[in-house]
Amino acid sequence: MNNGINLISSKRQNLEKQEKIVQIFRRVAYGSLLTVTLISVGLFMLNYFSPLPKVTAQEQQVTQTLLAQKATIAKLLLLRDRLAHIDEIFLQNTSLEKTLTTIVLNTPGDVDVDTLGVTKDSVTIAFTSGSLTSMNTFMDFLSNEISTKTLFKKATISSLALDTKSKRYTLSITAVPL
Amino acid sequence: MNPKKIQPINQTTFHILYFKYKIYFVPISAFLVALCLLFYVIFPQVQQWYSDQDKITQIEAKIDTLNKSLNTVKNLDTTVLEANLKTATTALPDGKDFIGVLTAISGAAQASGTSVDDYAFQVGDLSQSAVPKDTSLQINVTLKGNIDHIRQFVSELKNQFPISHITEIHIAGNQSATLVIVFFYKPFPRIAFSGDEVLSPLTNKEEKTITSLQNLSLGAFNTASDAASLGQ
Repeated sequence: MNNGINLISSKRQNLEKQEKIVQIFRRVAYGSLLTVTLISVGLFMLNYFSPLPKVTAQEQQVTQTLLAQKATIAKLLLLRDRLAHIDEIFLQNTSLEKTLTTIVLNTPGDVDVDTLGVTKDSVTIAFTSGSLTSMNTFMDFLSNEISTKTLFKKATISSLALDTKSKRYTLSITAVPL
Repeated sequence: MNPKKIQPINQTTFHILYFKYKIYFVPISAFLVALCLLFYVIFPQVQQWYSDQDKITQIEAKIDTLNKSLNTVKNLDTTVLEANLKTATTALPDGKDFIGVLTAISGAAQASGTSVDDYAFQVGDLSQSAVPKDTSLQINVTLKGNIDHIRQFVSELKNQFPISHITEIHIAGNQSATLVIVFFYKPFPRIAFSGDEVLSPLTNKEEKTITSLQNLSLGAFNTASDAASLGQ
């Protein structure tokens, strides 16, 4: 046999090539279609059987159960609101009581308080005594409160007077609380 | 030599084209259908699936939060809650409680041995419909008593409800005093519970505040009982 002789015409060779290409093209097309169809069906089933409706129903059930307790929830939230504001008020308290109590408890027995004014910004005291020693004791107390920064920032003597008839001293002090 | 004739396009032309290329029509159509399915079915379905997964995650987290809140509510003792709420609203009423204020002042006066000489409210605008900014009621009280009694009054007033602050004390001549007292109130807020945050039980700080309030009211009760037993 002579392999150099080609009995098939070139035109026929081209035709065979073309047929092969068409076959491959057909297989690719049908294969793609089949694959895509299967994937579509699979995805459809996946989405159809999604647990989302079940989870949504569960959420609604829990919400309904919680709503049945709405009175209790409202009371708890209201209590929280009250307590938060009460805490704020307690924190704001400038405690004039402490200032007043300290002054009263440290005033010697023979010193009479004529006037006492206590606000959060100032304390004014006017007291009378027949004893300068007792007044001095009170002044020492004030000095100590200022130096130890316990109650007052500073104090100023407004006036010191002597009533010669009653022989009593009157002292007026203005102090600035901490 | 004849020039090449241009054939007119007619039905025969289409027949020829059809028979020549018909082997390609079906595969191309199949390919086009596959492309359509890809873009119009698969991609949207995939997006839908991811979207559903996100929603499921969010809903499950919300269910967990709601269950925790439900647990808190179920573990609450409603009797204790109501008692605490009553104490708290007595301490901080939702409106100007004139009766409560007068009761507090007279209770503190009775317990301290002072007498109330005169009092004057500073009420403010009665016609306001919006929530007032200044939620306090100021009262100027004149008391009769010595400086010790006044000091005791100041101490006893702490135990009274509604809660108050004394902003000024003016004592004159060891016989009387004028006090400026501010009593607090706070309108109830709009209660809204969305379920997005866990409803937790009372914190330690809140429990301490309730205990403080209960001790204050108990102190007032004990002092009033002592005063009553002494015939004051």
